[in-house]
Amino acid sequence: MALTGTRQWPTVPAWLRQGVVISYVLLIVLFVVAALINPHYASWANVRNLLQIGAFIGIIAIGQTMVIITGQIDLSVPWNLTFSAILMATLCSQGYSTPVAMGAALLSGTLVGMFNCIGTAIFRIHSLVWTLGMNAFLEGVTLVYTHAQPPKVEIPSLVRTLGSGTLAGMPVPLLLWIVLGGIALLVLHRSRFGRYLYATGNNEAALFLSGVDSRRVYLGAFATSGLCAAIAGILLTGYSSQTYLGMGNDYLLVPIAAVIIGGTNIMGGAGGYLGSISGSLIVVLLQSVLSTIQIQQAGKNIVFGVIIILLLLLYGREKRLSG
Amino acid sequence: MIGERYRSSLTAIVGLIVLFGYFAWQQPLILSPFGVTLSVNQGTTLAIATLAQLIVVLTGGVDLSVGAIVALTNAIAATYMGTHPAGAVGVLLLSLAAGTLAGWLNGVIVAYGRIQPIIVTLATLYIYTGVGLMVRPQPGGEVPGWFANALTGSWGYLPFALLFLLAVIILVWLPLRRSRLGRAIQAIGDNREGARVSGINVQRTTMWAYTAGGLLAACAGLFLTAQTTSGDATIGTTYTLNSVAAVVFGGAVLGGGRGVALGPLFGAYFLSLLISVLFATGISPFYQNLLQGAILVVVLSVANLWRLRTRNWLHVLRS
Repeated sequence: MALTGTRQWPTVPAWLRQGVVISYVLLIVLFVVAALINPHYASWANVRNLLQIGAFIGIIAIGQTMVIITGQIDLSVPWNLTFSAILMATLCSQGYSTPVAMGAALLSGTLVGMFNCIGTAIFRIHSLVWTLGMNAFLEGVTLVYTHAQPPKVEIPSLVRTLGSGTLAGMPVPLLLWIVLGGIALLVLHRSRFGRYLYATGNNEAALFLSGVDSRRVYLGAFATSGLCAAIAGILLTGYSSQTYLGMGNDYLLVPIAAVIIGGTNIMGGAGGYLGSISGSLIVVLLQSVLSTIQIQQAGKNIVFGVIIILLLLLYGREKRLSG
Repeated sequence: MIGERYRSSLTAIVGLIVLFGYFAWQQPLILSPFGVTLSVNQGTTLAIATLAQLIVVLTGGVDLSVGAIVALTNAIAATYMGTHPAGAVGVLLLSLAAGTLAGWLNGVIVAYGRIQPIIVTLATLYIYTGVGLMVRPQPGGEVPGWFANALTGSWGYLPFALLFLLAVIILVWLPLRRSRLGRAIQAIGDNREGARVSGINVQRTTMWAYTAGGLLAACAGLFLTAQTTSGDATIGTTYTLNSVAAVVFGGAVLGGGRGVALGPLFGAYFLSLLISVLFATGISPFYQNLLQGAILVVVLSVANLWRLRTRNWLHVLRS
């Protein structure tokens, strides 16, 4: 191509410029740097710990990835997660059997997700507003339900095993993440629903004209997100052996950041769960490095926000307006 | 036509009148000068924060860090104001500058970094909250009495808060909207590519819109400081949600290009009056959170009920 006058950059193969690839490269670089600074990071115990915490974020990111691919966003995760967890703990304390309590939590999370879909897909209110409103509503529901005092109950052993147990040397949450993540990848890339998710994010009108009701696609995405939030709530309850009102607070920005760092476009239509996996691990690694540095919470907030922006500047940028 | 221009504001205006009527019927005390001043004071922080949100929404973006900027300026003002008038004025200017700088930073990252506004402002929300917490780890601080009185007092039925809002509108909002920049902001929200082709510098316009949003959010933070006479670095969270809600309820469109200030302002007072009404009915504070969220969700649904009557869903998808 002999285009005179335009600067030619050395060509990088297209597959290398994909967000997914960059995010995995980044993950490896970050890990190596962390391990060089502190050899403890490379130990299996630490890696296992990171994977276990990454599982909580990664599972939430399954639903969030689907919602973001459709071009929406789910900001109701924190209190959906908290309410599901507290509902489960309360039911346990009232003498219901553990599976029933867990089922109720999963059901409640899914129902909240479906409710998110009503506002977004039927009333066409931007999911940003609607799910943020739902989050506030669920906070109120939780406060009323618990009178601002989450039940102090013995967390059943089944839940504790799910949240912090090990199976064949692997943490149970990690195994669960592998299974659920595998299903998510299959659904996104091998099923009709997965294709509809991308189509909705790319051109909803075209999808509608080809005879698909995009409202059902939204329903699937939001319900999955609610379900994932509830699963994470159960796992977190088991992990910390208690429920508390602030347990969801860390799960607003972090899973979304994981999805975006993994190369999924926040405007929808492009990306995938493979990137969200590395995104989850990147944020967990960052958080873990930050927690070893002796700074107060305010400083951590700042550093985390700055790093997210730097990462996005690195490769999350949009195309220039043509020209 | 004027009527056409403000038709989108109608829901919020009618909503506020109906709600105020109901409140006055339940609680005639609200019609006293004291009651009016109290209600207006309750809503003015949100009203100004809503203007901050609106200017960004007009560009097609959204600013989730509005609440954090409000809280940051609140923390700075209440921590450093002291009692000496000259020093206090200096600190006022400082906190306005801090808010403006925060908005500018949002704008630079969104415009020149080319990253989606949602995720940028979600990240800066963390940063500004962190900075606010460094300035003021615990709620507290002090505010000179004259400052609080100047913004929250009243003159008969005329609360100074309305004068402050009017001053913000006349000194910041109107010059902004009537200028070339204001038209450019609306243009890039309506059609970015079209705006670019007709010679508008999209990036610079975006940057200034966010900067103006930061300045307005700082004004909201100052009013909040006068109203609460203390500083709290975490007080802002409600303003983010409510400002977006007020903007949407007031008839502006998330996605940009359409919206006037009138509806969102009425929407802001509607939402804050709603909280007062809930408070006055004497229900437990736990329920207030719940009802606030529920009412927001219901109000938005009702405002969008017409979607269900749409004959051709394709029109909805393309709008």
